[in-house]
Amino acid sequence: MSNSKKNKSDREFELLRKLLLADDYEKLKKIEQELKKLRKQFSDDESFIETLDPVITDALERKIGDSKSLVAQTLAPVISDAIKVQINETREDVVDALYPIIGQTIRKSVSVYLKQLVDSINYRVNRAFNLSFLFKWLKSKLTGVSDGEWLFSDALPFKIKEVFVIHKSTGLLLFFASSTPSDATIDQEIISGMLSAIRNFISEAFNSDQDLDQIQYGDQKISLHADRYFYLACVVEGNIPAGFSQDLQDIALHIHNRHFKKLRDFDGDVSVFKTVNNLFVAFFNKYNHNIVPKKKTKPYFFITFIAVLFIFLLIFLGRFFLQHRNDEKIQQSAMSIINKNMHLNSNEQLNIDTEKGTLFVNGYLNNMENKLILDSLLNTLENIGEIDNKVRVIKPVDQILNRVNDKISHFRELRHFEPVFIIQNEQVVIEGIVPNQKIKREVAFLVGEIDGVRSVVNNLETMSEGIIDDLGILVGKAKTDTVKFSQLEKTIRAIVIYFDSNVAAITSLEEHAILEGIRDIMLNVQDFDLIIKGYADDVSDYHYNMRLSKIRAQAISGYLVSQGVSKDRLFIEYYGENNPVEPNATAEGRRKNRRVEFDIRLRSQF
Amino acid sequence: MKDVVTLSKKVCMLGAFGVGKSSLVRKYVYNIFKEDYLTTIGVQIYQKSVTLKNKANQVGKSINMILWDMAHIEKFDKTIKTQILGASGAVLVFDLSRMQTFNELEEHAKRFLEVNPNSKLVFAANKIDLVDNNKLKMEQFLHLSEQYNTECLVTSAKTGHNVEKMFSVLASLL
Repeated sequence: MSNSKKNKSDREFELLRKLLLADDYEKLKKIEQELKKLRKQFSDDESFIETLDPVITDALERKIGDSKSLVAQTLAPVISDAIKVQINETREDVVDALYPIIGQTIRKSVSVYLKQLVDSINYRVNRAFNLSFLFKWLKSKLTGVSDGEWLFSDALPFKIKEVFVIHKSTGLLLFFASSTPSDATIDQEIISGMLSAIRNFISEAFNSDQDLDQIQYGDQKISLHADRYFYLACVVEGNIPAGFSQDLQDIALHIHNRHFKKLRDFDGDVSVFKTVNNLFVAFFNKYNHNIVPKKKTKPYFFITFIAVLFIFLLIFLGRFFLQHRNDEKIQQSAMSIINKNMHLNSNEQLNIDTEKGTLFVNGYLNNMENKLILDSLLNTLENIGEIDNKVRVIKPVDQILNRVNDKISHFRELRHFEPVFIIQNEQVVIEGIVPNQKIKREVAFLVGEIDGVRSVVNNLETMSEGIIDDLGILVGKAKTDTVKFSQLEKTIRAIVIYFDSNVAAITSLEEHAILEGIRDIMLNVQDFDLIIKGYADDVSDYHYNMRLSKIRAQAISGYLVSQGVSKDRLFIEYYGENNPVEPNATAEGRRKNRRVEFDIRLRSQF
Repeated sequence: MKDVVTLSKKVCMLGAFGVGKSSLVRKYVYNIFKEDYLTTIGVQIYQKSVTLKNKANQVGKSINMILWDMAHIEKFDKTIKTQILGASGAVLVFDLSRMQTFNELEEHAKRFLEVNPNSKLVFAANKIDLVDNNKLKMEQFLHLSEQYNTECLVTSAKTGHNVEKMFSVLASLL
């Protein structure tokens, strides 16, 4: 009983509970479903992002709109890193994306550079062969500025005239700098406004996102460079050089970094921007080559120097010209009067010259009578400062002898050159000794060429002939008797073989004959050895000369060996340019030093 | 002694076609007035400095006004919006002899303040020399000036009446 009651009571309670909580159950069920749905959304990334997207987008837009600079500042490092990672990971994609922009920039840059290059080349070609270079040289000397600086200035005719720093949104002038000292005036304020109006007009009228970057009028240009809050307008003249835009950009960046807040919250107070002046001073100095005379005193000194030099040159030329005319006049009148009054024989000679008003007369006449006539004629000449009369009276024989001596004077320095000239009725007999056959023939030829000499009798003997004779006598004696060593030594030591420059060969028959004489004596007298000493002149360097002298000695030695002399009896010594017999200063001296000398020693000594 | 602060301010001349904007500016800057009417092409810019005194009658600050006189302001297109951007103040001019120019004035003021919300305005009821002073109904003008919390001055570019004062009032507001 009690159980059935209890069951009934439970059922009723359950029914009541259902009636009372039906709505709550329903709500709970819905909440569970919603919760399940949310769990599903959270667990699925795509679905979650899709849900949050509109909310986040709105929030971001609102935040960025409220404080753009703060958002930019916050995101800058994150974005910067993200870009770096993106570039590293997808380099190709980034290249593809940037290609059109970079390509356009490069094309623009290259075309600007090419234009500058063409302008510069045209300029140089036009000026290359121009007389104006002479003017430039003179200008350089007068101003003290180097030619290079002038040429550089001319090659790049570029000058910055004015720079405006203009507030972008108001068009107000923030700062003005000029290459000529002047403050900002009404004109600059108005120019700033007008430039802003033009920029705005271009931007709006052509619906262009790009800023106006240049305005050109004639040779002048206004180069514009825009920053976020301001822009630079640079008035220039000539070709804009490479690097200029980059420098302008650097200045803009510098101003932006330093005055960022003042520019953003600009209230019209421009005095705060005066500090940018230093930037522009350096900028003007870099591009405006101030071609100014370096030393003020230099031109005056140079002009004075040139003027004095010019005056001296004029005086000198004037005096020289007048003197020359006067000398010519004296010479002509002297020659005229002598030719008119004297008849010179073929063996008489007069030379007339003038210098600084002095009359120089020299030569020779055959007799005293002619000399007296000449003296009296010279005394009649007028306007002459002095007369230097060195005319001599020389008999015809003496004249021939003088001429012979003149002709052969260059042989006088030679060893063993001792000719004697005997003049008999226009015939010259030559006797005595000369070094060799060649000189013997040359002397006879030169004497035969002299005026007044009809014939030449050449009785000269050569030194080599004497040596060969001496050697022959000694050989003959050796065959029958004993030859004294001292006698042999004297003969051998007198022998010298000469060589041409840079030559070590034995060429002449005369030299071969001498060497054959040495061969004969060595084959007939066995108790001595021959020492062959080679020498050279000093024309080449020391080591070369040493080698050359060795080869010369070896050439002699080789020849003697080929002629049957035992190699054991031949000893070579060489001295190069050492021990010269004559100074090497003259050709003759050098000829004498290019030689081989001989000496002997008793065999028992070795 | 403290240095006088000089502030540069951009000021626009606004108003309907032929109300005398350029004449007012030229009279103010150069003190000249030409009877010949010259249409303003594009924009013309003038400069005038105004020295303001403080309550102690000492020089307080100097306003370097850059006056932008624009043509075809009535169109108020995008180009004009760009030109008036950054202005600190505006002179809104209407012609007392052509009252329909007054009706356009409020539209100009509204558009200008949309671009430059913090800027100051002054109204110029110009060409007083052409109308009878006694017939003027000043209430509507005063209502407008009150609405924009500024002054409305009756001016004449021809006689110079109130021209200097009008620009000084605007300068003091900047």
